[in-house]
Amino acid sequence: MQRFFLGIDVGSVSTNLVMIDGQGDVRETLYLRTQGKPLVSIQAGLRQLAKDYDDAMIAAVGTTGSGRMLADVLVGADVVKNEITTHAAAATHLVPAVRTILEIGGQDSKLILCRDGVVTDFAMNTVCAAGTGSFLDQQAARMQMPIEKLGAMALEAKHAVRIAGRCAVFAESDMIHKQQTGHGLPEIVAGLCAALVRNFLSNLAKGKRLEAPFVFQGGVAANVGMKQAFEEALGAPVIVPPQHGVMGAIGAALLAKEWVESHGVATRFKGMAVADAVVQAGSWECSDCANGCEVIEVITAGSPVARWGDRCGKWAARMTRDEQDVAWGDLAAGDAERTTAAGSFVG
Amino acid sequence: MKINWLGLAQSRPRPTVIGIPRGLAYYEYLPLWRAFFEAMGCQVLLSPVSNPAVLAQGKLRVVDEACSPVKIFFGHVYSLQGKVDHIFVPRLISVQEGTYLCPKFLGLPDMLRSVAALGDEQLPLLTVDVNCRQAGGGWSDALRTVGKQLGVAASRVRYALQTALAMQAKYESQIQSGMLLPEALAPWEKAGTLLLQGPPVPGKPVRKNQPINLPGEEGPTVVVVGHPYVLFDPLISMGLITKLRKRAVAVRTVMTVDGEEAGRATEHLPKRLFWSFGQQLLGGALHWMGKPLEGMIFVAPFGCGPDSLIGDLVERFARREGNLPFLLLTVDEHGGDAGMETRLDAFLDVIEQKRQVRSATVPV
Repeated sequence: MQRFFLGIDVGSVSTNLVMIDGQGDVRETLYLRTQGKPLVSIQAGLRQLAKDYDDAMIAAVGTTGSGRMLADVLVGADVVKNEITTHAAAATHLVPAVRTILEIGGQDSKLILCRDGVVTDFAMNTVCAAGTGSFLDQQAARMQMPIEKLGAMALEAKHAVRIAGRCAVFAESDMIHKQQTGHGLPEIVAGLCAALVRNFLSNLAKGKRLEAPFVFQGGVAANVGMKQAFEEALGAPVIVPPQHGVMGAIGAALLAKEWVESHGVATRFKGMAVADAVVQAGSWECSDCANGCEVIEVITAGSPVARWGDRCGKWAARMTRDEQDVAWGDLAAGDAERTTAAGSFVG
Repeated sequence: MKINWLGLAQSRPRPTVIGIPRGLAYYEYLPLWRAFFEAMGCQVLLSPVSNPAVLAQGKLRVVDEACSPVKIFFGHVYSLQGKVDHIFVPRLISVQEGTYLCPKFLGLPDMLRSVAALGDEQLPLLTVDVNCRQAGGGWSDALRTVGKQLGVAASRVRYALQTALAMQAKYESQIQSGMLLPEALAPWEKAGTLLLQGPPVPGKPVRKNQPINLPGEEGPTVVVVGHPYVLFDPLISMGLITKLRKRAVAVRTVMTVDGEEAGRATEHLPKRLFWSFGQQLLGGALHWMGKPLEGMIFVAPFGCGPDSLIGDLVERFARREGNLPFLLLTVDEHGGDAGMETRLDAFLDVIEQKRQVRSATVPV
């Protein structure tokens, strides 16, 4: 029987699931909107996969993205990896010669440098999310244009209007100003793409040597205007892999495959049945000391299965029912502060 | 009446209470300050360990555009208000020949006074200038002035100063020999340590021992470059050092590099660095680059002017000196540490991959 490897990437905007086969070829990709409910979206994805795959066919599972811990608790992962390593693993798998990876997702942007298939350096955006997918989403909505059409519109431009891309707030007011003075929409959109690329390069590539081949991936790589703006700025062709939107999940699957194969262990996967399990995630602010940690808790069948977010570790450790009595006693008093909502969790 | 080795009676009328805020220069000079005040017969009270409540209090009062360590320092000062007779906030102008501290250190007592005046509050600040650029303007002169301000007899001040300088030298030699700052600082974070130390033994303090090998360090050797008040404040650094040690990383800091070594490491630069702490960071980082290392992490507060330059300089040298994996971590008042975890994990992956490549290419 053929063995498959499942990769799950729970990001701020999308939850992606992929299935790769023993040769490392991508057999299945699912792209779902997270919509602030990561658990619900993972379960929805698994339900779709369960139609074609049964538990015995899954040889390993890897999770990544900002919701990787939550995904691990739900499905039981063999590998839980950060987004940088998984994105690099996928890019070097699909384009082995790649030296520079440009990745723009919903709220993160990353620059990853590789030599001979090994990551040598990386940078991630720091304090500000200007220039990421969420900003493009907002601007498309403001101009009442579907996000998918933004890139094609940029290609129609005769020239790119100069837009300030340093800050999302300034960029927006700059765009409105340019619209009011009579510039055409395609030129403004092209200008926005050029500004975002400029911002990306000045923020992340500062002092780094960028060498071809370039791979552009992440949700924003679907935007042909952005691809063109990168090519103009870098003076070299930029490769956008067909699976650019699910690269994190592919990388997670590849690393999970590598892990179980090199260690010869059985998967920790809990099975497709978790798609129908009643799982709740919630959080509360612990008031036992001045730190005021925001403790996150995942509950199945009425009992917590995982907790994290506490600096001292006492909530994470206090997991069995008996030891919990004290905790629940404390909580009863402060029930109003407790915000437990089915499947609601900011990923 | 029982008298201890300091010549102080064990039971006395209520002593003067000196408050020391747990921030900024605290990490470099606590042994000096505590020993000095305690040897003069004062009692020392520290502000609580940084927590969100302290930060919130600081943010409420601080002047605009301050870095997070200054913001939290304000919170520490205010958490001592009403509990002590004096809050010790020296004005550090220059602690090393030919350099200055950053403007926030120079203006610290004034910023606090102006904020207190605006809020119509009383802050019993005990302050003094520390300025090596003036003849005899270093710590000795500064502390003598403080003793005088508190009305302590000159002979007692002299003895307290001698004791304090000896304790500080011992502390610095511990750190330079490789002990991590929190461990060296721990005894000085509680009262009574001075009495346990016994009278200072004349002679040179122990210098430059072999680096201490700490247990659980089978991982890569990584040097963390950053101000002590950033690295060792659990709130500002979000527990970075602990996170690294949990991942079996052998953590080294630039605090182990003394002024001479740091000076030699920066000798070839066309210009001297203006800031003493900055010189320590740059010189320390460059000194470490000559040693077998597997990675370097530079931690800078978002609002720090000097660090924005020094971080960039260090990064350029790291890239020039071959392929030393380098990570710049910018910290601010982040609530969550997910971003830091992601960057650390990815950084350690880079180091690990490099190890694997090396072991695959080097014939056994």
